[in-house]
Amino acid sequence: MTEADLVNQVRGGDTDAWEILILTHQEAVFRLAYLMLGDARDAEEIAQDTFMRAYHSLDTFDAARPLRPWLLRIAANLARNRRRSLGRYIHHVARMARLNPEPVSDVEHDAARRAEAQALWRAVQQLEPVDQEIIYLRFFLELSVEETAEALNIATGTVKSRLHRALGRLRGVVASNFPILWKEQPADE
Amino acid sequence: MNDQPTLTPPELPNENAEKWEAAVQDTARHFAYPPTPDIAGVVRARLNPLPRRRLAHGLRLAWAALLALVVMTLAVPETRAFVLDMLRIGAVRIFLVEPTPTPTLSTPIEETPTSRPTRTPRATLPPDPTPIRSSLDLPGQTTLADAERQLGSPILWPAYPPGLGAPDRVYAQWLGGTVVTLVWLKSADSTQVELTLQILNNQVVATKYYPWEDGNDQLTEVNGRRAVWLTDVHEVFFFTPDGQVSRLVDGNVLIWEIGHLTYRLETDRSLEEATRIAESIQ
Repeated sequence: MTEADLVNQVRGGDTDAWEILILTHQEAVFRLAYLMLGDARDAEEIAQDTFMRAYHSLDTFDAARPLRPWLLRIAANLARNRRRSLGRYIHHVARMARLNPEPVSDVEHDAARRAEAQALWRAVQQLEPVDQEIIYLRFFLELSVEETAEALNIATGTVKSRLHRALGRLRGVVASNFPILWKEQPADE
Repeated sequence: MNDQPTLTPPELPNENAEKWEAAVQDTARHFAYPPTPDIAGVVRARLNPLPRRRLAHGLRLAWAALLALVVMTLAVPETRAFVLDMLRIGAVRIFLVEPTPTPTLSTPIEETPTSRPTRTPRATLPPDPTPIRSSLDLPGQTTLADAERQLGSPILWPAYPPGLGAPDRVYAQWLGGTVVTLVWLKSADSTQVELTLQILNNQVVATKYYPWEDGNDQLTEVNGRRAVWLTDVHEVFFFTPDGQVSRLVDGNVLIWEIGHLTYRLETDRSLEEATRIAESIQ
């Protein structure tokens, strides 16, 4: 059974089919919301609302296209709206300012890599939202250029040019504020 | 693991852009996300809250208990209503239901005929689901220091309205987790309640059924975070190891989170005033 078959079943009222689709995509949706908001509870709410909204809007979705970019587009819109609240944003910035990398691994090497990834996330957070989103989708969630274009509703060529500029700006932020990311690491394990 | 060279120094010339991009991608791959919660289970409950044969789909035990109560509650004619949606703020789940006649204090809730372990050291609400008419009828009156000990967290209270001061009464109950209730009276010798602030830790599972109609907007914000404002008469249920206890709530209620604690403010004041009180907690 294809994803399009499941989508059509959901349109017919089959919530079991919707649950399968949620289970398939919930991780990516939750992770994007978490990257954008920096708070697991907020991300959970956004993920829930994403699937509720998508369910009720499924008639507008083209089943011939992949579902994940569409879901991520909804999630990004919801997270963006949440972040727009000034109070929420200030809270977020304050939280980020005191955020420390979480202890996530007992393997020293993995811990170092994860600390670098955490620092990279914090560097990305200093970019404009439009730059953040394209980096999250393309590099953190590892969407293809085509999927990223679907999620952002832009052309693939635009994805490439925006990525190029966003990476350039990220490089500047890293240079200024994140020396941990400059440190030479062994090239091989 | 296919480790790329680490992020290249940013002063490298543009021809190294590909190397920079690869390094960013490789580093991002190691990002440690929080565990993905059970989105599917909650969305299913919001879409179709009736019990299903495939409940074992990763739902947690508390969630199963919650649905069991929905079934039990719907079986009671006075409270039968169709669940339209579900909101969650911290420890509190709010089922938005079709409007029904105003619930009464005599609404019976059947008890599960199971043996009950006793827990005497902590104050508990009565095992029978006797509705509580006033915050002042709560068991477990105690001191702030003891309530803090039971909650495992410092207790903060509002600085607004001016001169509010420390609460007149403090209660702590064990309802599957700790619920601390702070009560301010209209005057020192009064039995009329001015404000009631409840603080629930994240082990508590509290459920409300709230009549929903088009145009209602329960969602609001406290300190920029999602909060819920309820104004109609509604019941709140707490799940305990011994069964649940219902309580009719008559006033306006604002529900929000601070850290891992959930706050419920009961007041006759407006949403604007309630929000100001909530945001003054320090």
